[in-house]
Amino acid sequence: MRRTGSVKAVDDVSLDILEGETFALVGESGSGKTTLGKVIVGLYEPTEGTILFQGQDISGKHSKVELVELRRAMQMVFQDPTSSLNPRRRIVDIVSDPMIVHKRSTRNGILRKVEELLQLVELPQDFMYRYPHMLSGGQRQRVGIARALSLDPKFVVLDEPTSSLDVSVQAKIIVLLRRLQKELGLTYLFITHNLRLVRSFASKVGVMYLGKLVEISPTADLFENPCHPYTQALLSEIPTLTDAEEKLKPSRIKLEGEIPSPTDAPSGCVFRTRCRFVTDMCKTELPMQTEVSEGHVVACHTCSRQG
Amino acid sequence: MSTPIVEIKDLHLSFATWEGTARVVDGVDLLVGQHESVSVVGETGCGKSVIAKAVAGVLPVPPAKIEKGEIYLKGKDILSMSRKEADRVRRKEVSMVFQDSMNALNPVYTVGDHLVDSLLWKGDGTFRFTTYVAKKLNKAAVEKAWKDSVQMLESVRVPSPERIMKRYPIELSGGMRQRVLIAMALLGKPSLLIADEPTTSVDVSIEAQILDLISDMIKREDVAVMYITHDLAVAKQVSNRVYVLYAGTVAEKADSNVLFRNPAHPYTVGLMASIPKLDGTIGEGIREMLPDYTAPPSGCRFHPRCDKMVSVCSQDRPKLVEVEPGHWVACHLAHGA
Repeated sequence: MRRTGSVKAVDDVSLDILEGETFALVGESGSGKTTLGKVIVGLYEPTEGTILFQGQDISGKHSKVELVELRRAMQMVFQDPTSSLNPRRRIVDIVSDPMIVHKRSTRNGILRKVEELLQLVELPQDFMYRYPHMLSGGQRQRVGIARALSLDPKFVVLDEPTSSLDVSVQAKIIVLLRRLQKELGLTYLFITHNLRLVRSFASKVGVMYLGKLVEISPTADLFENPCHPYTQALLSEIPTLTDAEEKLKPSRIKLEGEIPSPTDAPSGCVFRTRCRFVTDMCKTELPMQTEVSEGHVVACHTCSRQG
Repeated sequence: MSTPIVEIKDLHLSFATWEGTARVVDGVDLLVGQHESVSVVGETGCGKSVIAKAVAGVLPVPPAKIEKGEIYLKGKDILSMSRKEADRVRRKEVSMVFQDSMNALNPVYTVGDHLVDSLLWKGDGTFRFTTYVAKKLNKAAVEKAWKDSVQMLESVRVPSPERIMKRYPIELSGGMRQRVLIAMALLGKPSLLIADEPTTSVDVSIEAQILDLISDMIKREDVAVMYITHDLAVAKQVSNRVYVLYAGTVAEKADSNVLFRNPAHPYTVGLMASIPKLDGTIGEGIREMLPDYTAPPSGCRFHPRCDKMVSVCSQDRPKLVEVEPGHWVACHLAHGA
């Protein structure tokens, strides 16, 4: 959790990500998904709570040396490939930076690794000496991925890695990410608002709303049996391409109103101001996470009763 | 058959760049009829925004240059008129809603200022200080403009419109700002509303609300819509006819339900395959990249990326052929119905 003034960006979130999984964190603006991602990799410090990585507590007090080694294995690919690459540095410098900071190898060793990485992300070798503005959006994102992989991480947080890319380019990046996961044995935390992408790419999904985790489920189960009223509404709003697709999601539920401000979150269940199943209890009691089926957990008073 | 609201004939548009002349729009025919909602779909750089801006008259000329073609607004050829006359027609008939609502609104003016000024000026760019003062002092006109603005905010479903009138853009959420832009666009009672990717920077649930709103507005305000987007699913939801643009050419055009049931152009097929589906499958994308407009491919502009390419594709530009009623494809492999 993180407290800044009176904003609870992430409020009492507990989740497990298993090795080799692609865990998707889904939510809209103000849901806290990006903040959670950044807390996990250490860009923000948690106000309360623990983060265990491969069984070790990385959120507590550690010596700088210990932290550096632990954090090396967790990396992040950022959302906007244009602003996350320094426009005044060449690709080779951008990708070697992490290795230089961590004193990974000799200069030649690092250069060789950069060549390997560019090959891994399917970029031509002569891109090494180019500047970011000479690359397309999709190519820049590949550089971001190469940079994230330069320290041989085990865990990569992908923060909306394809949001700024066209659909046909997005598909190519997803194919690349899948291949890399298999070849390098990576575990992904995939932060996105794109539910279609979640369906094709993630093995497990966590749905966030206003700092709270409202539902966690294996992907197929989430889409076939969404439990939380927010999840149901979210899925129902996906615009479909064919009549066959219409059957694969809940029929349209119109969510009225806007997302409340995080500085003024509703008491009890944070979703109650927009929920069509709201009861008196929802105003006063916080819904606890309850298991409704294998691996499928929901925080909702109405859902848990229906089972 | 009533006069179409906007008709574009054989438009050729280029940009002067350091690397040469970029021939962006290369022979586009487009039509939006009365009461129609038409989507222009394509990926980044296909020229869709440029076409919309050419119609609205907000293209920077130079470096842009209209090499050839005609644009008719309600039957009037605006490219053959003087700039002043063309703008007069545009002011009356066309309104545009832009993608980035924060940039489209002036941060030091309230919502009310934006809306009331829209009504008082109706897009007249000839600014004179005396006119400004005169208009502002005309209490009756300002009051009427205020009332009309509040009413329009109500129709675009802005809650507590009277209060919102006094707010600054930064105090509003993205969805709310987008509604204000739509309200501003509709105040002038245009015949054509051009929406340039208005829901790209908005959350999914707000996007759904905005799309519903636009569909409602079409029925209520008797306005035709040209909707620019890269999202095929959004195009399907909000319009009854779709143009698929590739590299400044029309690859395919069809009624919405027909296009999605039976996409014919290899580009459209590749695009649809790339969309992650609700059954968990996703395509592999389309190989290569958009062409360099300063040295575009000969013949069909898509041929270097097409798996079905044959020799004629690199020589001749394919013409639009009707493959079934209401469905036209520009591809040498397509056969007429």
